[in-house]
Amino acid sequence: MPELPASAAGRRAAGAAAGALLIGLLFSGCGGDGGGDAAASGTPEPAAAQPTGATTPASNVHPMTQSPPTKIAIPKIGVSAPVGSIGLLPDGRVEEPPLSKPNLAGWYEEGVTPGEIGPAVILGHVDANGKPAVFYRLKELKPGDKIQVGRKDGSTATFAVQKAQRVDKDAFPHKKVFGESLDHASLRLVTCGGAFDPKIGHYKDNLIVYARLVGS
Amino acid sequence: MRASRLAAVGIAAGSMMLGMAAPALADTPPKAGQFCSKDDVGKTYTGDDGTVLKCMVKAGEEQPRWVDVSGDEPGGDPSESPSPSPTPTKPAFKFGYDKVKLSSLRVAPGYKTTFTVTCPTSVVITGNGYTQNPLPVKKTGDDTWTATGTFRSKLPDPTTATVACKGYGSVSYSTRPDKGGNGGGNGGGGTMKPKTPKIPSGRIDTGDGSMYMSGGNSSAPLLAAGWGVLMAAGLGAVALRRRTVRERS
Repeated sequence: MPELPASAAGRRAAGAAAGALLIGLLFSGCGGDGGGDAAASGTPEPAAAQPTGATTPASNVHPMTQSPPTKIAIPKIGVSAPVGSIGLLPDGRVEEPPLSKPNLAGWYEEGVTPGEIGPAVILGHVDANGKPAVFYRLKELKPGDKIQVGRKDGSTATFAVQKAQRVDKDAFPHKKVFGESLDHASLRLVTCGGAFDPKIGHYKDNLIVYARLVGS
Repeated sequence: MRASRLAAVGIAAGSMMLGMAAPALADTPPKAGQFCSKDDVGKTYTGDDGTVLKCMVKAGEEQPRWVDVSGDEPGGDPSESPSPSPTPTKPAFKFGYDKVKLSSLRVAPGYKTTFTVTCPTSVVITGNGYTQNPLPVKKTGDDTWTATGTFRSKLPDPTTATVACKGYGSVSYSTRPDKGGNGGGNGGGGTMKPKTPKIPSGRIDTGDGSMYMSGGNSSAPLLAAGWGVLMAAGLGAVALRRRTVRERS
């Protein structure tokens, strides 16, 4: 084997070390759910980077009248669950579905019902009592994936995912999620994400999936 | 003869070149802060990056300038609207309750409500108490739309109506604006009032971490593998370096 110049060998060693470092960083970056944006964790990329026109031809979809949701189905991630109502707590926080019913999703009843013009919000746990909960696989949703919401009047509102966003819980965009002024019917699914902080007993982030009405 | 033909060809070619250059010069995109012609006041220009510039006269100035009005776009997440964005001719328009007039706020069986809406794009009016849904909307002016709805004999509680201006958001009315959408029964009626959403605050805790702690969502195994690879590669690099040094000596 021909002798390598010392500089070349050094470069090779440095390159190997740099490569190893890169691999290590990649592993540590992808491995957790903590930190980073949704795209880095395998969750859907923000719709800003994804043209949604192909999957959300909503211009000819009529918004629906008021009717509370009763169930939610997301075939892509195997969700089929009942939906109850949740409201505001005295301290101004939004009520959460009980951990004792991990498969129960909660619709925020102070907002519009799914299918009406405006943002309808449904919350669900990611895990509870050692088992995956209703929105455990929410992070797997991609733009275009369908969400069906059964309503009390017997109708079904079908939404298409537009984007997902992971945010620090302390920087949750309440106004955008719960009170955005829209010209169309929208659905927002909210659960926990990111790393779990055992000190406070909660996840650090929230995962928000934005979807738009595409069928009724 | 030949000379004159050549001259004519030369003139024609020159004219073509100038003709091609002129639009190129004229098409130079304006930049925010640059002066614009007084004839262009009120005109807008949308750049490739979505920046919207408007030619306007700033207070205290005589010469109009191109002003970046992108931030004046109406509410709503542009990324959520796959339909064409609203025409940028009136970027300062903001839709709200002041753009909607109701002939009557009374909600009762058989009563009619006429909506007069100012909106530069198009209007959709939905409600749960009218005989038609959505209401048929007519354009009555440049940016003016009207629609009339007749209340059904049986009214839901709460009775609601929503007026949406495409690309600019919506406003809602309810007979019980303090109540969420979980009403029922037939106790509707009363007066329509603007309904603004109650926006919660604080953290939203939807999970107990039990799957994360048990490894289902944990990054620990991947981290361990990553560090293992890193360590192995690092050791390899050190060995290679030592061998190189040995070979040199």
